[in-house]
Formats: sequence, C-alpha cells, structure tokens
Amino acid sequence: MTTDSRPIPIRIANQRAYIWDVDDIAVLRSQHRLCGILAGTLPHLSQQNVFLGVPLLLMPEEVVLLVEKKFAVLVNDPNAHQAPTAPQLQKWEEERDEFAKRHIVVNDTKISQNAATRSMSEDAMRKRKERMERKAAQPQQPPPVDMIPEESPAERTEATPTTDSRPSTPSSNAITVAYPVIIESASSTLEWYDTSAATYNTIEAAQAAGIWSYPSNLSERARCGVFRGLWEQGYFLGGGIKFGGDYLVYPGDPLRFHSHFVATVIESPVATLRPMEIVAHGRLGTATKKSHLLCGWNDEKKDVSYLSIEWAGFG
Amino acid sequence: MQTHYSDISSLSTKYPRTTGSLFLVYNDIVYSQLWTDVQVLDLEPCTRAAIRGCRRLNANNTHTQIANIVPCTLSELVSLEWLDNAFVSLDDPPEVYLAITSDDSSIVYYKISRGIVKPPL
Amino acid sequence: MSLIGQKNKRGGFKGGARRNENNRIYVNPLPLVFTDPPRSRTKSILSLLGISLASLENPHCEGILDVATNSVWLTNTAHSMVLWRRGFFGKGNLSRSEPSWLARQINIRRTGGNQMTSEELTAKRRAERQQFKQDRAKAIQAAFAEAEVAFETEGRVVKVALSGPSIPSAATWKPSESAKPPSIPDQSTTSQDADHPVDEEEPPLEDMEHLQLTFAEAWFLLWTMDCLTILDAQTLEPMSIQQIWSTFQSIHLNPMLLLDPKSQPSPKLQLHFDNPFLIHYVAYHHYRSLGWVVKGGIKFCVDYLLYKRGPVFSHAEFAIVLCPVYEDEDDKTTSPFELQNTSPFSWSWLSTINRVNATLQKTLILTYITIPAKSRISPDVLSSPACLSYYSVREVVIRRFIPARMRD
Repeated sequence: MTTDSRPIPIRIANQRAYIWDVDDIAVLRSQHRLCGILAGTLPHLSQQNVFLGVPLLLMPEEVVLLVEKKFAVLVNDPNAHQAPTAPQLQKWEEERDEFAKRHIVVNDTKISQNAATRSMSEDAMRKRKERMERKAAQPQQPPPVDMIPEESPAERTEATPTTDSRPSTPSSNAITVAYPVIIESASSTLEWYDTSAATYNTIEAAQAAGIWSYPSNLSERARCGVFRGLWEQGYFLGGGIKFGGDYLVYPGDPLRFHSHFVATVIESPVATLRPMEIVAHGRLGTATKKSHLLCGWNDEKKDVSYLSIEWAGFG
Repeated sequence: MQTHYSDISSLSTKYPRTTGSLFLVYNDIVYSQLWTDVQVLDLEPCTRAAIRGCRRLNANNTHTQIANIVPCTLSELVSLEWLDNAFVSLDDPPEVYLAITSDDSSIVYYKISRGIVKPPL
Repeated sequence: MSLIGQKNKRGGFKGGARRNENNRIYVNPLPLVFTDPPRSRTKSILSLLGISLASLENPHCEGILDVATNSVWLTNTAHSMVLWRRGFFGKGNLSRSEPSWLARQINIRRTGGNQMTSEELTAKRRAERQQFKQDRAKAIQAAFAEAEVAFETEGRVVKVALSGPSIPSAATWKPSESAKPPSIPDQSTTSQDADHPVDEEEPPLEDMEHLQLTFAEAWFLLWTMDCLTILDAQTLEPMSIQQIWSTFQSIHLNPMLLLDPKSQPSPKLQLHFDNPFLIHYVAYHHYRSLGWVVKGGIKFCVDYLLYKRGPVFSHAEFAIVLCPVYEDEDDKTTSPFELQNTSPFSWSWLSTINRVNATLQKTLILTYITIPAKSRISPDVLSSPACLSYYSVREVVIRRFIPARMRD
C-alpha cells in the first residue's frame, strides 16, 4: 500500500467518477472510510455479476466529500488521453512484437520438450523443427488463430507444414500460433496519458470546466450535506435503495459489520412528509433490524438534524 | 356520541379537524393499551392535542415510563419542522410517539427520537 | 374468532377443530342470507319450474355517522357481530379486527387471562419474541467475548458460530415462566390493588367499543344490499340515500361545516370526480364484487389488503396501492383535494413498499383508477351513484425479479 500523500486522482468520464488504481481503492477504504462499488468485470470468471473488478465507481456525494476535504482531485479522463507521438507509438508496437515473439518461442520450446519425450518418427521431428523456424521468422499478423498446442503424433499426416489438421484455417499463411495480448487496465501506464492539464482540485473548477455538475440543485446539496454530516461522525456509508432509504449507515467496515441504520435525506425542514412514509420506513426497519434515520438538511444554516424512527412495540 | 368525547371535549372543540384521530388514540390508550394517568395536552404549534400517560413496561406495574403521543391521520401531511415543534412543545422529551390513524380505526404507533439512536438488540 | 363460550383448553381449539369452528361461524360471505323454506311438495314442484321459495333474510343493521373520524359506528353488539361474521365488514376500534374488547375484559376478570383473545395472544407472542431476542443477543455476545479472550490469551482464532447448541434459535428456544405480556394486567396483581375491587362488587362492564365502518364499507352495505341504515349523529334520524351520498362526498371537502352543528345548511355540494371517497369506493366496490374481502392496509403501508375468504382463514395475499390517474391533467391543478400517489412513484418508494410486502409474502398490486375529465363529462352526474360507471380500473402486479436466484 502506498503511503503517498498525493491526492487521489478520480477519473471522470461522462459525469461519472472512477478509480482505476487498486492501491487508491485500498487507501479510500482504509483511510477515508469510503467503499464505492466495483463495476468492472473479471475475464476469468464466467458469472460476471458476483465478483467484480476495477474500476471502482464512486457516488457523487463521495466525490464531493473527497474533493472538499482535499483528499482527491478530479481528472478529466478523456482529455488526459493525448494522441501518441510517432516515436511513442513505434516504441509501443515494438514492445508488443517482442512480447509476442518471446511468448511463442517459450511456448514452442515447452511443446517440443514435451513432444520429445514421446516417440516420434524422425521425419516428423524434422518437419516440426522446420515449421518452428519458419514461424519465428514470419511477421506477426492479427488476428491470431487458435493453435493446437499438443498434437498427437499419430494424427500427423503428410500434410504440408502450413496447414494443420483442422479444416477451418482461413488462409494458408495465417499464423496458427496463439499469443496473449495484454491490455493494461490503467491507462496511466501509457506514455501519452498525461493528467497535468486535465486536473481540477475544486468542485467549482470542475463544474466550470463542464465535466462535473453535482451538486446542482437543492436536493443534491441536501444529499451532500447529509452524507458529509454522517461521515464526519465516523460512519461508513453505502447505497440504501434496497432498504428503502438513501444510505446504509455502518458503524465500521461493511465487511465486518451490519448496518444499524438506513438514512433518508429530507431536503428541507418544511418539505412535506407523508405519515405513510413513516409507516413504511419504520416497518422496513423492524423487518431488517435497522432503525430509520430521517436526516433533515437546512440549506440556510447548512446543517443536518436527525430523527430516528422505530416501531413503538405496541398497538 | 357526545358522551364519548366528554373526557377530551374542550380540546376537541378547539381543534375540530384533528378531533377524530385524538378520540381514536385516546380510547385506544386508555381502554386497550391500559396506560395510567392519561392526560390531554394542548399542542398549539401542531394545531392539535397530544396525549401524555404512563406506559406500563412489565406485568407487575413496577416499571412505568411517561410517554407522549401525537396523533395524526394518514391523509395529513407533516414535515420535520412540525415534528420538531412537537418535541419543543412537549418540553423536549427524548422521544415522542406518533400515532397514525386510518379511517377503519387502525392505529400504528411509531417512536420518533431526536438524534441518532441505535435500535435495541 | 370469538372466544366467548369456548372450551377451557388454553388458547381454545387447535388445528382442525378451529378450522371447522371458523367454517361454521363464517359460513355466510355477505350479510344477506337466503333461507330455504322447509321441504314440501309444492316446493319440489316449483323448483322443477325454476321457481324458488327461498326468502331473503336482511339483518337491517343500524349505524351512526361520525364525521370526526370519517366513519360509521355501530354500537349494537348484535349488529356488529352480524356484519363482522358475514363478510368481515368493519373493525372494532379497540381491537385488531373483530370487536373483542369486552370479551378481553371479561376474560381478565373471570379467568385471570388464561383464555386469550387474538390481541392477548399477540401481546404474549411479542413479549416472548422480545425475550428470545434478548437471550439470543446475550448468547452471541458471550460467544464473541469468549472468542476475544481466546485470541488474547492463546492467540487462537475462534470462528464464532451464530447457530449451534449454545445459541438459542427459533426452533429450540422456550419461553421462561417470567415472560408475561406487558400490557395485560395480571389478575393476581390487580386484585391486590386498592382501587380495583375484586369479583362480585364490580359494576357490570360497559362496552366501550364500537364497530367502525369506513365510508366505502358503509356505502357498499347500504347501496348494493340495503342492509344498513345510517342515523344522523345529531338528530338520530335515519338519513336518506341521497343525503348519505352527498355527505360522504362533502366531508372531504369541508369537514368543518359538518362538525359544527350551528352551521348553515350546506351550500350546493361542489362535485368533483377526484373526491377521495369516490376513488376509494371505486376500488372497494371493484374488489368486493369480484369476491375478495377488502380490508384497510395501513399496517403494510398500502391502501387495501385482499383476503380470499377472510382474515381468520389466511393471511392477505395481495396488497393494493391506489394510483389515481387524471384523464385530463388540468383537473389535477384545479382540484381542491391533494390525492396521494397521483404522480409516478420514485424508485426508492416503490422499492420500499415492495420490500415491506415481499417480506410478508404479499404481492403488491398497483391499481390505476382513471378519473374522468371534467371537460368530457359534466360533474353533475356525481349527484347519483350511477356515476361510478365512468371510472375504470386497471391493475399492474409488481414482483421483484432477482436474476441470480430466480432461474425457474
């Protein structure tokens, strides 16, 4: 974990806030008590709705809190991706070629080592060696076709080296070797990703630049105010829509504790409240062993007042 | 019917719109929930009367607790300010019970506390 | 379920006997009952011709209009029981459903609370549940404390089991003798009490409870079956159908007018299609005529609950939320009423009511009632109940779909 005191860059794209750096995610959770939601998929998992990966998506209220407290800055992500210069692009392509070649050689060496342990006709071995040399010399052409890594010697025919036993090969000159193409999840590894001109360290500056608009009205200001008020009291906060509220309030890390409260934001002391809402919130709270908090934002005094609702237990 | 209102008649007359819910809640508290020392208080900022009484906490009458109830109907609209006024007018108790009545005479009671109060258990 | 005159077993009948008892008591779905004349040759002949000699028995109940609570009260116990038992109309104002307050008080005096009405059973169950939660919480806390001690002294990490032999679970916990329902006074303690004389010296109990009918229920009984008469609260004279129809509507407009006996005779009734009484009645009539028993749903944050046969037979299956829809949006802005749910719900609110009802195994139904436009139909039609045909009702059933869990 980095002990950087640099402000965490929050990458904004399309008015949404993402964190792509795993270390930053850890810092946010352990030092700043903000959890966010992982929104990326993990390619190795077939079910892509249970375990998710980077990027971390932050709620707008979390973003406002982080920037106001100077823990983070906003980065205009699309603008930070500059166009690569010619030498940068060439260097990048060369690196990819290198990687691909190395991978093929390593892979084939492994195969030939494996195959050598089996009995093969000398003829077949000679043909194999010729084929390998030819592949290493040929230029790489995308897209790579699936290779059959292990071929049983018995299936080997007198076929020419450039066709293999699968009939679906599209062209006779196509590479039949597969090599992985690695795409880094963080653009910050690219040379031409430059945030220096695209960083904003206040909400107002980002709003003026047009990349961020929250909070833009009373309702959003109320949410920011209540979020901040609860956060400053030491709670962890999460999304509350499943429990009939705006936020879930945890006394500690959500991985260790259940939430005690569901919080609803009321945007002003005179906003109308229907008794039916109190019944619903109280009822849901009883069913889920949580208390319901009505958090009232006062836009003039800029402070929050709290009322807890619980079923009375009689009646 | 007027005889049933006699215990609370003066405040009923003062706040005719809320007399229905007051009556239902008062009767429920006195005859069904069996609270003691029940009195009716004037809650002017909320334009209604409130009820204060002793709620029994166990069967042997050893633990009682004074509680305040503010009645209201399902079709009314309230606000945080209204609830705040109720707290203030009742001399800042730690909690107030809101009794919500329906026209079929069902009453649901909810405890409203000021501040962040953890649920028991 | 009536508990007066039951056998002495604790809690009354069990299982099948209770079911049969209920089937016997609640055999009539509506207050009007057809009585078959005794068998005779004439009857057999006439029945071949399709003519029945069965007569209609009408209980002719009487209620009093109470403006303050927007309801009709029945104080006559016999009438209350008839309306409750034949169709589950109304609710006792001091009880959870059937008017049982007097029965509870008599039980307390006579038997010290050994036989229990549904309210008493509920109170007892709640007290037991409270006790169970406390015991369980204590056991869990003790287990965690032990784990902490084990970690600190030996460095051993103990995984605390939240179920198992030492933690009470719903299946294994037994109430201790001290768990008594808190709000029911115990006979043994009250007899010690100086202001509560025991036994024969007590004056006869006056029934402080009445059966309360909502306007929708009262109008349904009165208009479709003609088995209810409503008396005016001041004069105690029966009101005419026309008077009742206007009063039910005008109470929502200006309750002050009717509460004050010295007020001027009501000015011409302003008729609006979106009068809350009309909206509620349309829904009530719709479901009642389809055979459902319709009760209020405030306890479940909805407008109505639908029961297949009645609350004593099973829990409600459906929870109804009324969503009035204006045919003409301008009518909404000029309306003197503030109807709830006329604008689309927020996702958060929909999610809340759905979750409340899902945990109670009820299906949420949004009932859309179309309010006719004043421009298309003149509000004068509202002076007669025939106007109900201008409203239309549509239902949408809402269920939460969880892809990960609902694969079939």
